[in-house]
Amino acid sequence: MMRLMGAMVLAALALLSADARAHDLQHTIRRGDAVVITVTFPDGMPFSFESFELFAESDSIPFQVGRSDAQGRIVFLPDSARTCRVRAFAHDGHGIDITFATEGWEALPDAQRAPLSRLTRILVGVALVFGLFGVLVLIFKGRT
Amino acid sequence: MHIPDGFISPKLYVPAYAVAIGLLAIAFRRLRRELREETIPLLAVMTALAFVLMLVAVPLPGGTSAHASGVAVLAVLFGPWIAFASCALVLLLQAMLFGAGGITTFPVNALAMGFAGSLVAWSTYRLLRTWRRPVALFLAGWLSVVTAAVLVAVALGVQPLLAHRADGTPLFFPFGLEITLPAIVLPHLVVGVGEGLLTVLIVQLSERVLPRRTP
Repeated sequence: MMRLMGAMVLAALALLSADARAHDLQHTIRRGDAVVITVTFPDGMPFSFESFELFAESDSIPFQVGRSDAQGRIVFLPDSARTCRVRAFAHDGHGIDITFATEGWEALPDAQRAPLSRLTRILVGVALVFGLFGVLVLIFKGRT
Repeated sequence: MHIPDGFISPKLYVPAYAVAIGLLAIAFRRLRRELREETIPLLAVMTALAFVLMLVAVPLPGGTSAHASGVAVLAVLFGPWIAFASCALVLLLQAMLFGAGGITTFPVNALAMGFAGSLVAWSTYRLLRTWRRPVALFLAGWLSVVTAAVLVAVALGVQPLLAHRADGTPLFFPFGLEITLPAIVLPHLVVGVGEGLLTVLIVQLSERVLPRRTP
């Protein structure tokens, strides 16, 4: 009788432990080389907690979806994809849709990463506007 | 308010290009006919001002930002067609230099901010100018921003209906009208106040400094 009861207890424990294993999640923590995309408004305000979709190469199904963090960062590990596309959306229509290479950024000179500062581009834009209207004046002068 | 590339389906931007090119052809014909040599410097200054104003983002509560446009000033001083042509030039330069807006979304932005914004501003001013001119100028500015915001919200909000996968997943901008209309229009009700005040200030200042231009 005692043997039978012992066998039953062992069988119940075995079943319970199998059941517990099925609900268990394992995890590992390690550092990796992640790609970090920081999205901000022009005044530096972070594009925080907005949804994004990340696509590898030309896939139509995203391999990662989520939200940017409090500092407007989208962080991911690119695996084998050499180019990625990220789309980030806010409810009010702000957002980005960019395709970029996941490797080789360290080798790029600073000038290639950000060709012109924002202020320079504003000045270039204003100069272009005046230049185009200057051409208009010349056309008018040519007529008279 | 500039819609970036990738947010709008070809089902909307292809016909929008056709409409915008047609309207721009009319606008440039009007520009050639109506513009005088002596008014070009003022138009250049106001277009440059619109270029800069659209790039000055004002932070708003809720973690977003918005900007004025200067379109109403252009519309009141030069009429809606010249204002539309100037605004289209500004939007094209901003798309190319800043990635503000985009090339595929250029016609939608130009029609919303440039064409509709100018037309509403000019019509409001013409309708109310004999009643109280500063109020007419203010409302011209306010309505130009709010109208553009409503059109941009509609253009974005219809994307899930226009282009989606078989399972209903949107292929372009993912949020519907119930989200885009309040999210875009409500902040611009506030931004419009700034645009209205700016319109009153700049138009009256330009009249004080330069010979009277406004009708």
